[in-house]
Amino acid sequence: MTLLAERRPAAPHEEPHEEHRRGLLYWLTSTDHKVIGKNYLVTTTIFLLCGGLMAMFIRVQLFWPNSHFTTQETFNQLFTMHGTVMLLLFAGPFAFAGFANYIVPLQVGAPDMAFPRLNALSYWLFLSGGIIMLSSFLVAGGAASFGWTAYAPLSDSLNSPGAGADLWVVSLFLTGFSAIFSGINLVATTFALRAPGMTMFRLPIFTWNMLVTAILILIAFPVLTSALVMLYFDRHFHTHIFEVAGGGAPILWQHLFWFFGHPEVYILALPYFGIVSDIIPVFSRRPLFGYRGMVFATLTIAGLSTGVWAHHMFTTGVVLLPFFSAMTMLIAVPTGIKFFSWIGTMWRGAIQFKSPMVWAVGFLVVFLAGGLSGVILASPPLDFYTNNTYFIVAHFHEVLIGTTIFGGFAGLYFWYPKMTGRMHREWLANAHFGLAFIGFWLQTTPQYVAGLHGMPRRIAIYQPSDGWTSLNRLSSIGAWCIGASFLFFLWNMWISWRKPVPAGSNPWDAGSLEWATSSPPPHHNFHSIPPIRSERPVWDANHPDLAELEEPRIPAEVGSGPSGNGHGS
Amino acid sequence: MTVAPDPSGPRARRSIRSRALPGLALLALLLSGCTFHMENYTGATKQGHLIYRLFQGFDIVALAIGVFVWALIFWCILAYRRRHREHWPPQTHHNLPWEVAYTTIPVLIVGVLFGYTYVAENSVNKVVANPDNVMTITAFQWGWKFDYNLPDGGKAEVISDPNHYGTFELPDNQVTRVNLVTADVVHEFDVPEFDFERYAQSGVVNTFDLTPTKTGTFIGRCAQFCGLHHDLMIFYVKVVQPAQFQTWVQQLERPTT
Amino acid sequence: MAPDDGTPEDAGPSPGEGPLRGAGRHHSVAADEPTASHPVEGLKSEPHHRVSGHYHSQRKVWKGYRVEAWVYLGVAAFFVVVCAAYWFTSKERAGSVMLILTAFLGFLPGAYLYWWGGHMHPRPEDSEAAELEEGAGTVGAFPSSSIWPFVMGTGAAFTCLALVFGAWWGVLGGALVVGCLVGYTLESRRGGYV
Repeated sequence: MTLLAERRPAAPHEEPHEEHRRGLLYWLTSTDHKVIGKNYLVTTTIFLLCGGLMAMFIRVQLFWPNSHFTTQETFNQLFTMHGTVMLLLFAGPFAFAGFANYIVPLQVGAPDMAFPRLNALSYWLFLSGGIIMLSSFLVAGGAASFGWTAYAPLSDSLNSPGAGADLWVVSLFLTGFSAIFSGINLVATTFALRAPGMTMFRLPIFTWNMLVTAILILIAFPVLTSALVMLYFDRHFHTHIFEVAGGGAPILWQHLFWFFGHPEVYILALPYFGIVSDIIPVFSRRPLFGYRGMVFATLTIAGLSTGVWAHHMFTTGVVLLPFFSAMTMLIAVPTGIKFFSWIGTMWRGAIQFKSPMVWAVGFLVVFLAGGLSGVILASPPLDFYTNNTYFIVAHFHEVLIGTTIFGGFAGLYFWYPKMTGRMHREWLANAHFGLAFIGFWLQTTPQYVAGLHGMPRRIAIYQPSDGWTSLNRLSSIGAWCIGASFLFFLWNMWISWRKPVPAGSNPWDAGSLEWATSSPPPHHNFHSIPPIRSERPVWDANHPDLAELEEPRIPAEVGSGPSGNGHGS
Repeated sequence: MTVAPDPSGPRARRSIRSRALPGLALLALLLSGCTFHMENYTGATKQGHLIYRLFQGFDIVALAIGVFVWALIFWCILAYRRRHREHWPPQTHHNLPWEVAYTTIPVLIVGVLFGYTYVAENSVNKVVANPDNVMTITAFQWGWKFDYNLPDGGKAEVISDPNHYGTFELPDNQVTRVNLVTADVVHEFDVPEFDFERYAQSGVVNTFDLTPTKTGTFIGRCAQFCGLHHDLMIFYVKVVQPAQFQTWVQQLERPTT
Repeated sequence: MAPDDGTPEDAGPSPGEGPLRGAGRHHSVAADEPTASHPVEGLKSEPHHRVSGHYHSQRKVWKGYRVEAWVYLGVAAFFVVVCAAYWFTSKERAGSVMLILTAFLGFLPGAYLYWWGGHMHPRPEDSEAAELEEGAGTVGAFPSSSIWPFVMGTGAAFTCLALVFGAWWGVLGGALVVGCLVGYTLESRRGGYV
């Protein structure tokens, strides 16, 4: 919509010099994709900490059987908001708005996103939506308390009266539009603003994944937004779309919600797959193994993910089981392709365990567990056993923490030097990883067992006789470990802010185009670009003699050493 | 610069292997220990036992794949570390046979898993033509109503609510047809010991058969979040011998309406 | 994303119109500048024909928007198949409608891009052998600051709050949105910054 306007030549106004562009007005008015990307990253990280804090409270409540740390109503609000904040205010926008905004234009060699002002609008809609969501705790009656899935008729005006639920609806309405605008912008940027020679099959896998994510956003979010409008109408204008009494069908909400909800899961996962696909080749010193297979797998995951929504509804008794279970199980195939591509990249590589690689390998280990329990859940009879128990909770926390925390922070530590021009402290990043990794297993594994022992999700109180006490205690301790690990992250940011260590333009010897410019990149990104002849133009320029290397090349004296584990720098 | 042979000669390889193998073995042991001590319910009904058997199969396959892929990952971590600043690995972009292999083998595995799933779900969801016993379960906020259709045409009911968790009985080794409905929001009938759950939704009558194979009293819950006192929607199901069941059901209160 | 935005060939390497200050694409190495002089730290100035391994040997030139179009058309084809399979096995309406609409979502932009790609000059970003000089010129204007997105966002938020707290919020929100539409449009007409 801004196209025609922006094709006019810029006015002869003097643009303020970059160094002087600071302060509140600059922040409010900037349409630079790097500023917006950083805004998104900081905002979503704050939302992550808010959602994490809610999780800590939930785990305190569940630490003791028969606990009265929170009231039941508060507990219901906490898990509702935990789910909503984590999924819709952190996990998605962290990647498809934060990383994508910052990295995609750099990776395709563009000066900015295609529609800079739409991009800024998208951020402001997101921020206001997020503020509305969190402030709903302050209104009379508290925040929404019907679970992040808001199943009708629990979410109607009779069962959930009050402003909190309405604020939940309008907040998701705003963030939904924000996501759609981000998606449009990403597609346009990737399609129309690539540098010469940057063909589609030379895009870094991260950009490919962001493109596919953007298309998924365009498929999924309009469905959610329209479902929210219907819900609002049901709540306030006495329509009966989700009400049997008036001729509606509550099951329709589940169809609409999960038609959004399952692609949403892959909107959350694909960007992090992309991040890991960018990191592993860099620290293995090899190109990504099976690039085209990876692109194909990404597209296949996206397609299949839109045809599997009703696997969340297996126990409703009114969906077609074989169709959805077959489609769901098939997703394991492209996901497997991705796994073997990552392993194939590391295979015979020269792996260097800098912090991004540590997090990326952590992602592989962790996500595999979540993925495999996903295959179990794809089978309807097994879903009859485990649906809505802690088995499910463990599964999706493994998948989501695996992608968004392990994949996401791999990306954050990977691009932090590029975004700030400063190095973070490796040991703090690794300590962050270690504690989060231990906490992760401690948290999710007992939840699997609790689920198989029949513990339903979303309960505030259980009895000692249920036999879940020690499982919940382990799980709580694990969750607190994950929470505590973020202190290392905050400390890391603090140190790198107070005592900067310059990063240089390419600290990791990486290959994609964002490493060809300075750190942080100048206004409009590039002063010059190396020739683009593969998906690793910077690597090609830095290592012209390696392009045809078929055998490993190591100085002979190292090979004759006893164990050969020289770590280099 | 000349191309050197594989630097990590037999000796280096062996030392890596000697470190890796015990670790991998330990990992495999831990994982298998985790699963086989999960003590999941074996299914106290005919249908539930089918689910349990399927679960075991899936669990073993998933663990086998998991251990295999984890082993590959850990092998890469241990064996392919960078040895030197000038260590340049081969720049392989792709290898078609391998890519075809790791695409087709998962397809085959998924095909087999789907086959077993399909067979099991049909048996679990099958309803017989002439059940021995028919009942209607109504979920409401926050409790359950269990109605029996008696052979004499009358009805008998048991109510469970947060003030008093009720117990309904089922005859052992007989087919009980359940019609599951809700009075208000979405609930989920869940008896963990039966390895079975089903939604209760307005506008839908869910019909399924339960054929208990084990006597005893089992706890049941609502699994789908349904509002404030979701966690108090507890009930008990007691599986007894058919004769005992008949005596029990005859002495139940009959609703006046 | 209308393809006539920002594609170098129709912005053109028009000799009279150099890269616009603050608005043009500066990344492209100007035609008279030797490729070898990379100011970027760490980049060696190797001529790029040295990196023509077997992987890079086929220098393919895609038709304009061909891959992009196929991504969308693939979405369309996939969902036509899935929708057919779903409808004929389940007869369930909600899902079938969503699936066929998703197929249209893929078809519309896909067909447009395909059609447009056949009618345009090839773009340097679709050619594997393109030199950076081919992309020289203006790729579009990228306003680097504008207050209106913020105003629009605030207005939209207030309008949404009106749905919860009553119409008075809507007056404020509506005023902001309308004012923003005017300001936004005028800003674009002026072509300037705030």
